[in-house]
Amino acid sequence: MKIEVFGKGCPKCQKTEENAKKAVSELGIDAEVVHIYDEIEMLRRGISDSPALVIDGELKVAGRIPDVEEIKGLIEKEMR
Amino acid sequence: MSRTLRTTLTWGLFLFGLLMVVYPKITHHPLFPIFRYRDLHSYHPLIIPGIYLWSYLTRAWGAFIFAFMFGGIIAAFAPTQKMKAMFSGKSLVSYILAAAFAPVLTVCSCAMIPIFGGIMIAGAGIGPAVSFLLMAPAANLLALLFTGEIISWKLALARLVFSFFGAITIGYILDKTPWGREDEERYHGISAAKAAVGKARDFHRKSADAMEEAWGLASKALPFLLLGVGAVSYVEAYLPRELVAAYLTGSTGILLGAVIGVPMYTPTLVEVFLVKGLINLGMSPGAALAFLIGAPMASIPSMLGVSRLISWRCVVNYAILAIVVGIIAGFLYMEIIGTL
Repeated sequence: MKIEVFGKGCPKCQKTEENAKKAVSELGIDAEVVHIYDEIEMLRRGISDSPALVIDGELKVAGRIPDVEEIKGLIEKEMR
Repeated sequence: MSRTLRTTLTWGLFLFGLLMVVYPKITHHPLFPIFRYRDLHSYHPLIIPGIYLWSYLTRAWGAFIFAFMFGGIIAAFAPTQKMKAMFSGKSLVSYILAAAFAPVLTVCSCAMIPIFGGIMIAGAGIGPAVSFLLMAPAANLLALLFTGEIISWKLALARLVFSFFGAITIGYILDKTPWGREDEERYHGISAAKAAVGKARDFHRKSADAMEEAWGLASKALPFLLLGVGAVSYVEAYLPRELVAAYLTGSTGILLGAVIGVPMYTPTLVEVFLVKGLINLGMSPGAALAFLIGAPMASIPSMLGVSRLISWRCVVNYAILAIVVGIIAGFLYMEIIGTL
């Protein structure tokens, strides 16, 4: 599973990355969390609000910080 | 922490900040003593930034709490997707809404460039996108609040009004240029990604989010703000008054005021404190307004960012127009209002 966090490195985006990593480790699954800082790449993917959370290529959350529980829920839904 | 406690904390802090801002205006007395510095020259150079920051902290700590909590609450509660959907057309309404919502959207997202691009790919085209881009830094909520609290509310209102009409006009003009049209074509292939609709967040959850957003805003802005205001203290202490009187007053002041911000990088909000420092040294209100509009709209760092999305011709075109708007605003303010 691939989890991408889009942001410009602002505190909100760091927090989102942190929460995503925590969610992955709490679930004990094999997933990669990457933080993408490039604004042009963000736009190319059609994303305009940061922080944004993308799971396996699909935009899940945009423009706010999802908490650990919410991300866990999103991952579990994706695995089913 | 329990949900109720978090909600209470969020709204409690917000109301407390509001009280701190409003109280001195009604009673004409600050609730807590304000530290006022003597002539800055009389202090040892090493402690000048400390003295300066302390005077602002004692005067504006309530405004700081209010500003960041207000920003956080708006970020958590504003229906940004709906707002953006409202200006994804090509009509005049799109221009007006893009400019009107810009001050709100800037507290929600930390990256402006993707929103700018997002407006283009949503179908609004380059016009409303440019209106948004110019309005966002020139009149974002926090910048306006601090302009009002630190400098004067008359000037803050002028900053809002001129930025608003300026941004709409410049967007509209750019939409009519051949290079504007060309740049727009580049974004035809991309479609906007829609976030899956998650569980609706209730009031408690949004309030908790607001706290987090407020903290995000504060921790992003404060380090630069402290450094920036510290640097401004030396400007106020050592820049000769004669120089300010000669170059930053009258017509010359307005013309120079609109352009000196271009090569300068002033992080968000620092421009307000810099202008306040210059006003203390004698800068005229018209020149101050020209700076507060020209500098954020046409600063080189922001132009560099935008040039990754649209051609330099467009960037230079809007920058020149922004400076013109700053100059016009400065002159109108000088002629019509004149005082702070």
